[in-house]
Amino acid sequence: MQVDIERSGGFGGLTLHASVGEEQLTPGERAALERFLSQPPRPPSGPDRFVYRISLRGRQAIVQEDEIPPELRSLLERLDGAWDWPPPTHH
Amino acid sequence: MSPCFIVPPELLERILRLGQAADREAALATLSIDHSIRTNRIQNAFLAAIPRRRHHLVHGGRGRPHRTIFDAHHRTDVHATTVLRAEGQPPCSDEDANHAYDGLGDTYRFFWEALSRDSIDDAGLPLLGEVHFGRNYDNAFWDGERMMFGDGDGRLFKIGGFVRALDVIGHELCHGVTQSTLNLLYTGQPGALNESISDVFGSLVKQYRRGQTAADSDWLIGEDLLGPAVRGVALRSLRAPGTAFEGDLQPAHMRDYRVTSSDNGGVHLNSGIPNHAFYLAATALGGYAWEKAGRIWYHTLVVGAVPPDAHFHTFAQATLRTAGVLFGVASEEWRAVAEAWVRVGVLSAAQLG
Repeated sequence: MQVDIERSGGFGGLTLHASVGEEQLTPGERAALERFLSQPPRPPSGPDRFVYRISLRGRQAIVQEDEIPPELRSLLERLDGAWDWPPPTHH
Repeated sequence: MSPCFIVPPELLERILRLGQAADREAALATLSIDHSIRTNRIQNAFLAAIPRRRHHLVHGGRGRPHRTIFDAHHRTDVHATTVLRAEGQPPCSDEDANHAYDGLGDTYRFFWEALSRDSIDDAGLPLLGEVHFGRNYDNAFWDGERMMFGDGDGRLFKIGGFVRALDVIGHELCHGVTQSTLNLLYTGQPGALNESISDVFGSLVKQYRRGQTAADSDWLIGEDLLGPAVRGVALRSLRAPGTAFEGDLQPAHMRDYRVTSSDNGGVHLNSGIPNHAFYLAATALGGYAWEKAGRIWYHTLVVGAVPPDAHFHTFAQATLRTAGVLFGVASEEWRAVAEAWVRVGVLSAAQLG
């Protein structure tokens, strides 16, 4: 299964997508992700911060940039440069 | 017809001319909620009070920014302590820090000279910025206390682009102004208003710096910021929302309002609607956009008769009240603002009466 990640917001407001195989998650990343999947979303961190939507097996978590724990930050850093842009419909 | 005042106009005029800042703002709020006010006399008193206020404050050492630029050393978890350049110091060896310093200065100068506002809180709040926030970080933001500038990744956003874009700096500083005035929620319509206010004043900071009239301005936000992977001229266009880059989905009219759960409810998308209303009002009035449309928007912020959960129409009605107080109900300025909100579908002609 795939973990689908959307990053929206930021000053630019560009909505980007990336995915990673579920099997590539470290145990720490998996545990952190599981926590977010089972809790309600928090209000926005503040203006122009990024917002992540992380989807796995039909469940999804909305994660504000400033609540990302170090275990998930490592996953997002691996995605840097892998964000899908331009979106397929505009290519 | 003789207008009916709850507070005698002579008293309001005295407050506007001689009162303390807080009294003047209260008088201003009274004026703005009193729909019956139409006399030239009280409007003139109001207008006369605004330049007076600036002179009143200068002797307190105000009118000068107090800037500190820090090096975040690519960290994101704590506020930086390494100072790259403090107020009054000559340029340092970090060009990004110098650009941030200059941009904050230009933004401060716009709010002070054009709108008599003394920094973010109108009480001379020091302006703190951090450069080199995060690694390859594609963003700039106001964290409630400081302005944070990423370096950009060189693909979506140019390296060093955020600190070099004056409208980005104006946009971020204006988030602080909105936080200390209307404190709009950052989701859905109030969030899109919050975004639009930052785009409007970000554009005005740039127009003021360049000495451009509404007709001369490009009305773009974030030009020269896009990296090679993004095809376009800028991130947003107030003149033609939805055309700034390939994939720009901003609407310019309420019929195209986007319902989405991304981006806190599309705050950077639906801001196109109030952005375009400002553009229409400013270009209809001509001249320097900060002198009429900008003042109307600004005084709508500081009077504060807009709740944190305001939708577009609530803000639109408030700008009309402000235009009525500043320039007269049914004045050219009032009509330009009314027409602008009607053209973007936020108000209907019937609502204007």
